[in-house]
Amino acid sequence: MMAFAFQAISQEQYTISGHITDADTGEELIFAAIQEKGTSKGTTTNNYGFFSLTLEEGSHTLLFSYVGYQPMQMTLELTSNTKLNIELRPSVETLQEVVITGEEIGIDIRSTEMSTISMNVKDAKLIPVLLGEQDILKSIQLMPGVSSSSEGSSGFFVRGGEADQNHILLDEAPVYNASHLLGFFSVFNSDALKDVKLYKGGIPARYGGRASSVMDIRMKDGNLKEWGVTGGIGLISSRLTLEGPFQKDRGSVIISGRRTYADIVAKAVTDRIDGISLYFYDLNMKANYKISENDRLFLSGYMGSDVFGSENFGFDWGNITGTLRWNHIYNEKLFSNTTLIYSDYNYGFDVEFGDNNIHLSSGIYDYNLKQDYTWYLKPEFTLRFGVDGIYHQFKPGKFSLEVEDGDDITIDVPEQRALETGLYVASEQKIGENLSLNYGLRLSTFHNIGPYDYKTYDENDEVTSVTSYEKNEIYNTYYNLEPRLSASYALNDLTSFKASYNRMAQYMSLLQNANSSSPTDMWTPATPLIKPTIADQVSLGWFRNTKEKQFSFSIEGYYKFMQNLIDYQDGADILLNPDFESQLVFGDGRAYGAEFLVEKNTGKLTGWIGYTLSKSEKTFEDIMDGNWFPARQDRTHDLSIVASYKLLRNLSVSGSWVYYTGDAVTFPSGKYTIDGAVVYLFTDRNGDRMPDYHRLDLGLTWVLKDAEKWHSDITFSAYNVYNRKNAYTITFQESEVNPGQTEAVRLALFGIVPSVTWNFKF
Amino acid sequence: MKKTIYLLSIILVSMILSSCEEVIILDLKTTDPRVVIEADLDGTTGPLEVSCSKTNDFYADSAFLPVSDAEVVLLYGKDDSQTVSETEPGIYIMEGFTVVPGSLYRIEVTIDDITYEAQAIAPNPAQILEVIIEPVEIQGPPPEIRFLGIGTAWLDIPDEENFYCLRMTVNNKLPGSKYLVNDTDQDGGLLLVTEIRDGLENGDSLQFQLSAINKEVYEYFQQVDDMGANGFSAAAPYNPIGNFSNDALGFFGVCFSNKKEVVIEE
Repeated sequence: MMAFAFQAISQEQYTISGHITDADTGEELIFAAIQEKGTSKGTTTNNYGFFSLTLEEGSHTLLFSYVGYQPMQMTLELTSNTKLNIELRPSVETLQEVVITGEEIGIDIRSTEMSTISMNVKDAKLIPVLLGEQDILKSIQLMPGVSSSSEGSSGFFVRGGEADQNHILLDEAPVYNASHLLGFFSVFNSDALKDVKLYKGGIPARYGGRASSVMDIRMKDGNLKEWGVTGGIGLISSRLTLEGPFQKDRGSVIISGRRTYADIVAKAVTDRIDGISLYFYDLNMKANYKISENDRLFLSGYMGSDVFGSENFGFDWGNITGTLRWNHIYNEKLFSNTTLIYSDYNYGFDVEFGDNNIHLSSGIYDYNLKQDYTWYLKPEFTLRFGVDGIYHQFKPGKFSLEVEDGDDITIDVPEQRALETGLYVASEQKIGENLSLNYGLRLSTFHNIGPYDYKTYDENDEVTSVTSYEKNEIYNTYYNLEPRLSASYALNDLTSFKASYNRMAQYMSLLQNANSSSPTDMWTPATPLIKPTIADQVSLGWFRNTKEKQFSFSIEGYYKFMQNLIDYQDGADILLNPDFESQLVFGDGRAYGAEFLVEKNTGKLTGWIGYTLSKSEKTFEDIMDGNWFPARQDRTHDLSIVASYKLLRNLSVSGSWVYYTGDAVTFPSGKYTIDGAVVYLFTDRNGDRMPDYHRLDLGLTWVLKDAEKWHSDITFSAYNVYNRKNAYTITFQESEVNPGQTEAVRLALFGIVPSVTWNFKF
Repeated sequence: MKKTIYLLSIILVSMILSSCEEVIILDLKTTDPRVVIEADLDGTTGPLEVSCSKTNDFYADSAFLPVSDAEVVLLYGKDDSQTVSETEPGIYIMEGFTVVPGSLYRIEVTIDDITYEAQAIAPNPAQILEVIIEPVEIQGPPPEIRFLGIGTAWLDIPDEENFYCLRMTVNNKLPGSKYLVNDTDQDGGLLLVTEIRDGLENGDSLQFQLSAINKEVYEYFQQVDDMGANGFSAAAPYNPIGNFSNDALGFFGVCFSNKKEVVIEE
């Protein structure tokens, strides 16, 4: 269970360091708690399961805990620096309770961390979901401050920010398009994931690059103890994961795949889609190897793609990410992580008709090198510092039409290159028993690199000048200092107040070609014309656990101000337009709100109620005379109730109910005719609302067999139980029955959708 | 296993079919009516046709709310002007007017004591050179469906920026097709619009109207097209901006039109 290594150093304070892992699989446990009993001294493991805690010489009783695992208590006589590797056993309960927020049950009262949502993937599986496809992004949308971008979508908004302001990291690699099938499913296969943490505010200095949030997703490392298979068969997809050691306790590998087969099933009942493919797949792979007690290598990768096509046309899009990491422990107080990352997102479109061909391709490619250090200087002082550099390649779009007579047409939106760097230092400091601070500074820079023809435009969008830059010439640079500060003041062991401030700089934006998101949306870098988005956010919160942490409560308020947001001129034409910059307008945004969360953490009934009251607005000089107008994602009320009840040892039921104010949209307020056709009259931008949204989902999980060598369960779920016709879109048209009259047409995507999934593990 | 697949298919299809479209009644905001003026001066046939209306509520029976008793004046030359008279509610027509290419024309429309002004320069006329109709083979649909490629060609007017609107109707049935064309990178060249259609039968007649139009009208029609049939194809819905003063909706344009009719034969 424990491995001790003593070093005889004569001093009054000594450091205990090591890793906390799962006793069955050897998986490192992230953010597991280490607490000295009877005092406020403690720490948590980092993203790699490593911890370091310095204490006075003498006898100490330490408590190691992690949600879903049996806590462990041990007393040791500290006479020297000590290495201590702890293995925790999963709790004996078959059906895990649904626990979200904080890996330790309840709220970590004394931690400076606030405005975060942590989700243990294993425990989120009981939440009923659309078509039985477990989706970590959709589960997180049930928490305050996070809202879904549309019905059934894995896209999300955080605290009134834009969808492109969320930095989604999979094993530290950015994922530029986290959606499959136009947003109905996320690219994250839950079987391959270990831990997800979303920072809505108080974002640590080690993260940068997006204005609103950071979602840090960690893949499983692979079982270091024994080989095993996990899988599931659902209505529209199946999953299979293979993991095990290639050298016991030193190296392991995990391969996890998922593929949908909606097209295959549909072909069985109709011949209307013969010859048409429509599916997506994901493949996650990871290997790790402990080179020595102090060195460990991780190699992880993801590839996934959507494919839609037939004999004559094909449309596919997908992400590829790869991460190589080296963890090195210099000594019991200094931990280092070196990371090399590759990420790409691209889409392509091919059509053949006769001897003519149309090709369209677009993509973004990142090459990233990072170095992070954690220095556990003193029991009450930890220093984190690091540097990273990303080389971005933006390929906004290339279109070619090859025709029979050889008179080809090519449209090429020029490629852009940029170097983004970050340098940060942050301190975690405890002052006395009750006050904790986390303060840091990040210096980010962004350099546009040639070759590039930089254009300026006049008010009629005509090009007024073109300046050409050579290959590798830096033609524009931005610098931003991003202060980060979080503080926690504990009134006692059960209650605390926390506050945070952060500035975030974002050097790229997603340009949307239409009113809804699609794979053809285009990432573009900051340029001399497109300034980086800067977001300043302050948050204040009150946090409380009841005794034994059966219940926890939190209330948070936030105010976020965003500069240099992008919107479009009326009639903007973005798609494959080499002069798309001339079509943009720039302005500011503000978002503020209050988030309330009550959680029941233990017992047969667990779950939470989350409510957000918020406002999100924007202003652009060229839109509505510069008046503030609601952002599309402005949701006044957003309520989620999630509950799970354990009926029997092998049977549990769960349910979730959501309600939110409809999106802010622009509906016509009148009509007129031009050239014999009806044209609609619009007044205020986003001055109308989609109908309010609400939905109830129910689920039932029945464990069929739970032996040491074979586990299987079956999950039944029903999405939208009371068959509410929630509007996905509302469009306007002339009545077919009464020409001249106009009518609004609501498209509701999903009525009640039952599903069943069988999961197994051996 | 077959039974299982069948069951799965039934569930999947029922899910797919669970999406539904339904007409709903929305509580839409109403706004003060705005003036809409659509004024077309056609140099070929001479009439100036002006329709004056106000915007109507979304749920009103008609999209055209005519404005009578407007004062409509066409101004041209040095100080010449003619008043246009109302022929039916909201419609003002002046026949037999000669338009000179390259000349400036102004229009003043006074409604409720507010005068809305616009101006346009008459473009040079263009002629349809040829209409070609040929069968086209399309892979996929059943072979008994006949597809026809309909190509309309004309020569661009050289050494100037030109804008065109080509309309096509079948058996004079409105609204027909409308194409907006400019001569970017094709100055003085052969311009061609091709449409592929099925359902045309021998004896059907096709009417073509090629209009040389003003840039302002071209851009206005582009904005109307951009808003699409339901107003949601654009990144954000907006009101097309024309060339009238005082925030009137609509446009004033001067054009030269050229017509051709072709009957489909074997």
